Amino acid sequence: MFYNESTLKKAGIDEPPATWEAYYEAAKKIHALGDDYYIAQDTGDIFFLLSLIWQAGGRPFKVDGTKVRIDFTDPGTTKAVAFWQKLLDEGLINTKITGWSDDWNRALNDGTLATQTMGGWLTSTLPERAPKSSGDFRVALMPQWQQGAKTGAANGGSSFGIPAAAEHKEAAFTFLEYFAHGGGLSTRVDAGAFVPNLSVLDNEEFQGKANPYFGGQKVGAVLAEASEIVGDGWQYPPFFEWARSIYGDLASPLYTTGKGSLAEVLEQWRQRCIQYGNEQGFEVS
Amino acid sequence: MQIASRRLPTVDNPRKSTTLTVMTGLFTLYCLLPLGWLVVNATKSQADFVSTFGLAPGREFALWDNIAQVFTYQDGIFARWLLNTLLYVVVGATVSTFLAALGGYALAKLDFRGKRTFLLVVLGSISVPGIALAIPQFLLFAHIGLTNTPWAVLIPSFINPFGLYLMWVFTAEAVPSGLLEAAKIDGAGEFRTFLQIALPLLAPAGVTVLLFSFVSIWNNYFLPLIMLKDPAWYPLTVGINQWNKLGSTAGNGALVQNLVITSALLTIVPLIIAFLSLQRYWQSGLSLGAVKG
Amino acid sequence: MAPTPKRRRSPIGLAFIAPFGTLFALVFVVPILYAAYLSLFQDKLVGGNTFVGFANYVKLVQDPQFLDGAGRVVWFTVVQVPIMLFFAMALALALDSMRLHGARFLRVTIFLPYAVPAIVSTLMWGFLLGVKYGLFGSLNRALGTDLDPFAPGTTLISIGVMVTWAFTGFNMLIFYAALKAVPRELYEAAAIDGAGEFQIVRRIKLPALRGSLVVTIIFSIIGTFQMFNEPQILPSMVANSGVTTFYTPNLYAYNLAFTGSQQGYAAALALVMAAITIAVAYAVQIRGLRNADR
Repeated sequence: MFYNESTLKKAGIDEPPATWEAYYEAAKKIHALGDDYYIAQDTGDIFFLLSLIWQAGGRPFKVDGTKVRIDFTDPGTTKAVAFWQKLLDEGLINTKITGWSDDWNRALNDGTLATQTMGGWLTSTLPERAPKSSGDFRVALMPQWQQGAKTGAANGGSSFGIPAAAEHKEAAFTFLEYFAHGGGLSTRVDAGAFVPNLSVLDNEEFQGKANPYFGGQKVGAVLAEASEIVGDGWQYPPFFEWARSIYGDLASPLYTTGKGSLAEVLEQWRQRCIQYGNEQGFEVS
Repeated sequence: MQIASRRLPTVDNPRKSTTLTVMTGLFTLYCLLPLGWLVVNATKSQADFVSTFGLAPGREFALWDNIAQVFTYQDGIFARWLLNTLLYVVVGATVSTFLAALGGYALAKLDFRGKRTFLLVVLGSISVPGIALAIPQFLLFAHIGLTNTPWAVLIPSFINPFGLYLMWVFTAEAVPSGLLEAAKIDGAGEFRTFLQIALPLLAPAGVTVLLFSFVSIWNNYFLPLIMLKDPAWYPLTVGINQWNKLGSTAGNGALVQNLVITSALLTIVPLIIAFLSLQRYWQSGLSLGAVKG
Repeated sequence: MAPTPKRRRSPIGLAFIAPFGTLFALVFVVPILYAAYLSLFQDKLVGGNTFVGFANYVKLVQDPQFLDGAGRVVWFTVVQVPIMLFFAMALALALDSMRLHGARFLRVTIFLPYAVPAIVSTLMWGFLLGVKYGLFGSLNRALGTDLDPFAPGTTLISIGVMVTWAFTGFNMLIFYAALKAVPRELYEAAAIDGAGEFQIVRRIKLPALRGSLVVTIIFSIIGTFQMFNEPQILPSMVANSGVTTFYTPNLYAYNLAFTGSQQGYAAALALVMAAITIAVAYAVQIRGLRNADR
């Protein structure tokens, strides 16, 4: 979790929220600073919601070959969804600003968005999005569901592949090898990219380097720990790219009118996924 | 001049109306506002862009810096995109105009089997959505190995059904058949008659069709987007959106809005110059299409 | 005029049309036939390609998402096209009245947006209409209002503002050109007969615009039925603008084909939209001509 220390201080919060309960209290204090102040934004970010579920122990997708089971009613999922629903219902989340938009950059810049619960890769791009907030942001572990627990989740990611029709498969593989594991790594790290390879994360130099944008905090150490505690056993459905694209269609009415609930949206989403998946020849239930 | 202005208002020279000018001016403001925003923001650095009000200038004047950056970012690929666009536009617009003139002439002055069907199909094709064509076009071109080459963008741009229509209408009105007959009696072949007699007469409509092709190819986005994978062949529109997306995709993308905006400005400047310098041709060509209906 | 000699059907005509015709076949006819072929199949991620007959079409006419998008563009067309053409016509008449100061400048400026690519224009308007940092943000703060041009209920209006911005000048020029083609002696004769300016507009100028009106209506309908760029680019700029993946039929087709890997279904959708567009354009043409004959 990235947090704007000076905004938190202004709201009278000295420590970054370590539990979601504390996060909720912090959200109320931050919004009390003014109408523009929010602890975070969400306009139907499925990746964030899934991270929350992931961390809470929910495993809504079970994939076995072409068989897919989708279930948003397990205890972990229900807990995470109900928590976020509470924040939305109480108007503690900015539902007008979309992540990665121009508005978002500006809100990070002027400190009205206090935290971002996101992947570690935000370190590399935050300085150019919020140049005015230099020195204000810090990094902490994701808030926990239980005091003292240490469980995390992943958020997004990227992968590299070689198309079947590629002409120079060998060369492409050699390059990817270099890019992902070999000498290319240090080039990327030096250029400011966040590369979650174990060899990089465990590196003492990476962990010990003070980052001036984050007020001299040793950001690497926190990120390394965050990636170690990611809960295991998570799966995505094989048609996730399609599912993700239509999630916004279903969630948008909730975020704009406040009618309905996240649980209902997820159920609709599940129904659409079942229909699509079965049409495409999977066995989805 | 002096005498004319002192004369009483007539049908040809009525009194100027301030009210009417102001009303038209309001609409003009609507047209200029976004362009003004673009110009103002092209002068801002990235830091100023995210932190200052949109219609006010930034703290520093960074236009020249931005232009220099646009041409050097990613090893100067912008210049390559500009040249690509010029290639697509010059070759595409010239060939499509020539083909339209040739076809329009044939429709207006020559007879051939299946002419009516041909006309119907071509005119009907104007209303086929681009997306409907794009997917099968892509699959077809992939089959003959043309995707990811400039041909994939050029070949579809050679065909301009609306241009053919304009040329047909214009030829029917502006090229006297008697003149063509006379040339043929003098022994000129059909193609020479077309080149030497008809083509010069078609020049005004030709420039109009050329301009339409010019604008539509210059602004074409969807077709090159799906046909081209190699950034070295991108036209400006696809390239700029690529830069724009760098900033709005989650992850390690670079935020280069100042470059996006400056390059957008650089993209429309040549078009605006073409507009201003050739504007009388728009009108002359369009009047024919309009009158005929 | 001397009677033109009877033209014979000669191979030379075919030779002239051949280059256009061949490329036309390659770029239009073959892809459309191919799309028609594709529309009869379903390509599954698991299980491969199967012939399904007209199942895609049957599914399409019952698909609430397709109907929603199609309804939206029809509604958009019914509202936006008349407004845009009204402005275009009024501006053309104003320019033609020769009563404007700086008419040349005005004419060029109004036409200018036509040269701006949709990507650039969406970028510009997305900012200008933004509630947080855009002009509307300032306006709302100044007036204490809470207007949001990109709420689900208002996004379509904003898109209308963008489309009107881009194409009014183009249509104006078509009208203006038609007005310029009217012999000016007609006006003088009318003025001598005692007709006022408004009467000249009503009795001479407006009837002269009828042909170009048909052309502009057809082009506008074709354009709005194909709406794609604006709704495709907007969601990355504005939160919850109400733009769905099926906001317009074209956008839906694109998403079906490229995200949902449902090429056959997308092809069916595209062909149905093309057929509807052609039918509507043809109906306008017929009606326009019938009115002109009266």
